[in-house]
Amino acid sequence: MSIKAKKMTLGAKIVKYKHLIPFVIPAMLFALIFSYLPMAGILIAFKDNPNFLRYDVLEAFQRSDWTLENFKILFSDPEILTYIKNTLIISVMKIVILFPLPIALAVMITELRSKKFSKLVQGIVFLPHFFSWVVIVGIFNSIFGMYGPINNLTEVLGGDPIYFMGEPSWFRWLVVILSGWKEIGYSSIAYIAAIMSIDPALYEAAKIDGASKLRQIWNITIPSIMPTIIVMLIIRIGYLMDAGFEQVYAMLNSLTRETGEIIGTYVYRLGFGMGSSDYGLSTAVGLFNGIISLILILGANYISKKKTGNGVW
Amino acid sequence: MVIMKNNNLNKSSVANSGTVLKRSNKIRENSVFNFINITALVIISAICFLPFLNVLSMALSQTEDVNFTPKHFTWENFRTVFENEGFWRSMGVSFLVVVCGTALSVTVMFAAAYALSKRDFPCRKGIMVFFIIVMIFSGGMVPNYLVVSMLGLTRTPWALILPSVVQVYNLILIKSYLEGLPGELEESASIDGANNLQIMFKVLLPMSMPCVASVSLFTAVTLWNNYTSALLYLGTEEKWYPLSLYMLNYIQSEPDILSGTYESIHKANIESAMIVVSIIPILLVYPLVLKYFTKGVTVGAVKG
Repeated sequence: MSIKAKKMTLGAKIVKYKHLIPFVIPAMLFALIFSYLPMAGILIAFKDNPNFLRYDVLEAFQRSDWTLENFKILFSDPEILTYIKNTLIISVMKIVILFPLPIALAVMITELRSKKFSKLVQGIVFLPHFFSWVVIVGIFNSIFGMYGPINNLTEVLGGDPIYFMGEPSWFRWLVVILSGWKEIGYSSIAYIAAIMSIDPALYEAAKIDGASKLRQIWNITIPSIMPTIIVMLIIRIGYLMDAGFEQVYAMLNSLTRETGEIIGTYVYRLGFGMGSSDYGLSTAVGLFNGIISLILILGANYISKKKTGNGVW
Repeated sequence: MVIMKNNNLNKSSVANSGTVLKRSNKIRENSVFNFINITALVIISAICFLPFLNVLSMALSQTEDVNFTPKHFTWENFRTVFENEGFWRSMGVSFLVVVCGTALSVTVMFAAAYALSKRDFPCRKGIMVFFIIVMIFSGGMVPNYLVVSMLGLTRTPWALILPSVVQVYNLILIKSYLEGLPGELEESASIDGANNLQIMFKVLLPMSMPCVASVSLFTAVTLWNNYTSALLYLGTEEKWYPLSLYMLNYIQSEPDILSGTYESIHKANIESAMIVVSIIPILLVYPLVLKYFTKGVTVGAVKG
């Protein structure tokens, strides 16, 4: 890259690329309309339940009063605090239980000698990621159903069948299990790629020194992919507030709301569920979630870049 | 098979005569490790695979009490699904949305990535920040709904396509890939008089096939599976429900058992048959995904 390029003025750049500027316009237009314009709607959080059903958007907006009531409710209503608690518990459970597993799986897959078997295993294990939550919930409704294999096994072992999908105490575990089934394989790809790029000479040297397999893994493989692990972990924590709307919405039913309702599903119910809607409160809860998320993601990306030089952007 | 492969260690150990005994211990240790590794992976693969067997068996059975083989074998569940007009209509909607949505999104993102891959493109950093903000913050469900509503797109399939055109992650992937391509082909094309549009379609697109193919496949699969947009923007306009939402409604509905019809009594089995049919397109496309995956995604960045 020549020094000349850095010293180009904005005007010169526009002239140089004037035929290319239209290429970026469509993307920016779509982003403006469908991402930035809705951001203006955040103001609805400060309005007392505008009646969008009866009036047109701008008119309904003007007709309702300004208020901070939505935020007062947000920070004091025990129901909402329960939903925030659920969101955090499910998210933390997912991270603590499901984060290490793809790493272990990646190590196992890369230690295979047979390329054919390795490809077969990868093919099987990546597949669930590509199914929709609707399909996965449908499949596991059957697996954990009253007459499904899990309950059949429980009965064979002498226990009583459990209606898993309707049991509040089981709900969060099921969320973790289904999420694990869907994502462990796919999440291991990043680690597989990282392991594949480790210099084989390191292993040769270790073997000559007499290191066992386990020692090689512990002392070479894991430390070498540490940067990848740290980036993934930090970014994952950045998305702490996202417990998985599509998954939880599909799994929830009236029996499991107290342990299962998360912020996302509550926001949806407030605005679009059955019964009367409170658009102001829905937007306020969503805004609260969005801001915390933003702070976490920005913070996570910043820390990740500082520590390892890698981030999402 | 495992022990035979370990013989390679023997060849390289001829020089270390004193360690022959140690070497054979190592071989035994490695075989144990490999055996455990393979066994564990077989179990994990089985855990991934068995749920499919269950769903397939349920689809072919007349009872809910099914493990991994069909009981009271029947094709009736599949027949019920095939005769269900709503099911086929929603599948058609999904195909429409996937084809249009993927084509539009990938084209728009590719064009933007092409422009932004030029290092001295005007306001390049600012524009990237513009897009990254989109990736990390959103107005929320109500504001998004209101915008789509003001545009008159609610209750139409366009609401399933247009709002998801901008996929910043794909933009970043394609841009990284394009930045890694050598510039000579592009230069020689423009010397030959081609304009940017021609360069993009005739030179760059073919050159970035692995990247574009994998991005397109991922976008397509995401569009096929997504039901949130439909849930939010379609309301009760059932005729435009994509397959995902149609199936979700069916799964969450209560059967009218008192009516005594086959459908109401065997709802769980019919659900399973629906699921089986709905995953066939994904299974057909999957080998392609696997093939391009190793080439495309790991070249630029890794999705994770």
